[in-house]
Amino acid sequence: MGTIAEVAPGGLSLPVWPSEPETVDATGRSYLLLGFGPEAASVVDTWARDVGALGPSTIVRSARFDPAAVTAALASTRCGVRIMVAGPQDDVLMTLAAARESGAEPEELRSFVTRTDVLPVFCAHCRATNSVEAVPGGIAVCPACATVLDVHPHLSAVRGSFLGSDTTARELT
Amino acid sequence: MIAATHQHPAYRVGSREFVVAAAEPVTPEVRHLVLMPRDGGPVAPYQAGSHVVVDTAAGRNAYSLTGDGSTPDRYEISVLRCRDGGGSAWIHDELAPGSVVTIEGPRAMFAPRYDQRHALLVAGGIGITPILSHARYLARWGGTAEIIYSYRPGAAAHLNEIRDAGFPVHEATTVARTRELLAERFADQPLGTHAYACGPAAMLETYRELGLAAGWPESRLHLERFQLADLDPGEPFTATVRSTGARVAVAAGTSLLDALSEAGVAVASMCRQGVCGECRVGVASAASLDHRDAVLTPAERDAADSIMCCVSRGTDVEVDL
Ligand code: FES
Repeated sequence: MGTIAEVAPGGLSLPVWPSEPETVDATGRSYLLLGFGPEAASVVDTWARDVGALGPSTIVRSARFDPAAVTAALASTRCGVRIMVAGPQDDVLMTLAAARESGAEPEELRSFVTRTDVLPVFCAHCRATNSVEAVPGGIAVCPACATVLDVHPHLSAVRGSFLGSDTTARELT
Repeated sequence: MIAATHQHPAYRVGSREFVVAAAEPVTPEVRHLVLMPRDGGPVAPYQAGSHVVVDTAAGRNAYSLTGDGSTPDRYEISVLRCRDGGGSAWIHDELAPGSVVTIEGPRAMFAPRYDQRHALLVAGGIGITPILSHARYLARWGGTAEIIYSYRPGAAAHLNEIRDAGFPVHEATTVARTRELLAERFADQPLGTHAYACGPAAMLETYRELGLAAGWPESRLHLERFQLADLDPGEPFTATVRSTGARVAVAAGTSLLDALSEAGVAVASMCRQGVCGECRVGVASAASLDHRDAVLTPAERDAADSIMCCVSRGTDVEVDL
C-alpha cells in the first residue's frame, strides 16, 4: 500500500513516492497493469511476472496518459482487481486520480514513479491541466494560456494535479 | 450525544413518544409497525440502514428503519418475534394501534458510502429490513444495486417490496444456494461497488469469507450484525474503578457491565451483545484485554484504551470511570 502515503512535512501535502516499485498484492483476483513511457516497461514486466498465476491480468502500455484509454481500461475491470501504475509522475498521478474517480479504494492501488521532474498543473486562469517541467513551489508557464504560474506545493489527489496561479496576481497594476 | 439546542425540531433524535398507527403481520413471525410522532411534529430524516431504539418492557431494542430516510413523516420497523421472548414478544403481544412507545434515534451505523459506484445488497431473513432501506434509498436517488435475499420459504418479510424496488433480486432458500450466489455475484461487480449485508451470524461469516476470497478489501465489505455467536463464560478477573479505586470482582459467566452495575457503577447499555457500541468504557490500564465485540476496529483493539464491557473481558483491568 502507500501510494501517496503521507502528508509531509508541516502541512504541505506532497506525494511521497516509494524508492522501489511496490510489490504485487496477492489478495487480488485480477490485475490491471498500466505502464507509461519506456522506463516503465521493465517495472510492468516484473509486475506481470509476479502476478503469474494469481489471476488474469490486463496490461496497458502507452507513451502518455490518455484519459479515454485509461477510463476504458478501468471500466472493463471487476471488483477484486488490483491496479498498478508505473511511469513519469504526471502520468501516474493522473491515472491514480482516474482510478479513484472510478471508485478504486486506496488498498487497490499501487504505483511506481520513474521520474519526478514533470507534474500536472491545473491553471486557475484558463482551467486547463497540462504536464510541465516544474517542482512544487516553483514556477511554470501554462502551455495553454502562457500565464506564468506559481505551482502551489499541494497535490490534489482527486484531480491528480497541482494548482497553478498567476505569479503576478498579488501585484496591483 | 451533542445537544443541538439551536437545531430545527426536525432534527430531534432524543427520546420521544410515538403512537403506533398500524401494526400488521407481514409474515407469521414478523410484525410491521408504523410509528407517528405523538406531538405531531416533524421527524428526523435518516441515512439508509439506520435504526431506532425502542423502549420495551423487557429492555431497549434496536430495530432497522425500512424507509429510504429522506423527508419521512413517520418511522416504520419490522420486528421478528424472537424465541427467547423479551422485547420482540412484547412488541408482538402488547402493542396495538393507538399504543404509545418511547423511541430514540434514528442512529446510523450501517450507512451507504457516499462515493459508492454500485451496491451489492445481501439480506438473510429479517436482515432484509436495513437492506430494504438501502434499496429504497438507491432507487430514490438514482443509484444502482443488485440484491441477494436468502430466506426460509414462507418466512420472507418484504419479499414483494424488495422485488419491486427496481433492482435485480437473486433469491436463495438454502444455505448452499446462498453460498453459491454470493460467490457468483462477488465475482462480477463493477469496480467501486460496496457490499452491505445483514443477517444471521453464520451468513455474515460466509459473506466476509467469500468477499475476501473474491479479492474485495475489507473496506468494501460492510455488515450489520443483529446477533453474535454465543460466547463462552470466560475466566474470572478483577476490575478497578479509576475514580474511586474500588475493586470489582467479575465472575466467570458474568459480564463486566453487570459486575460494575452491581457494584453501583452504572454504564449505559443497549444490545448487551457487543454489537451496538453503547457500553464502551475507557481502559486506563490492563494486563490483558480479550475483545469479544463486533464494534472496535483492529486498530482500536490494538490501542487497548477502551472495551465494550457487555461482552469483553481481560485481566487486571482499570476502567476509566
Ligand atoms: S451494550 Fe451494545 S456493545 Fe455493549
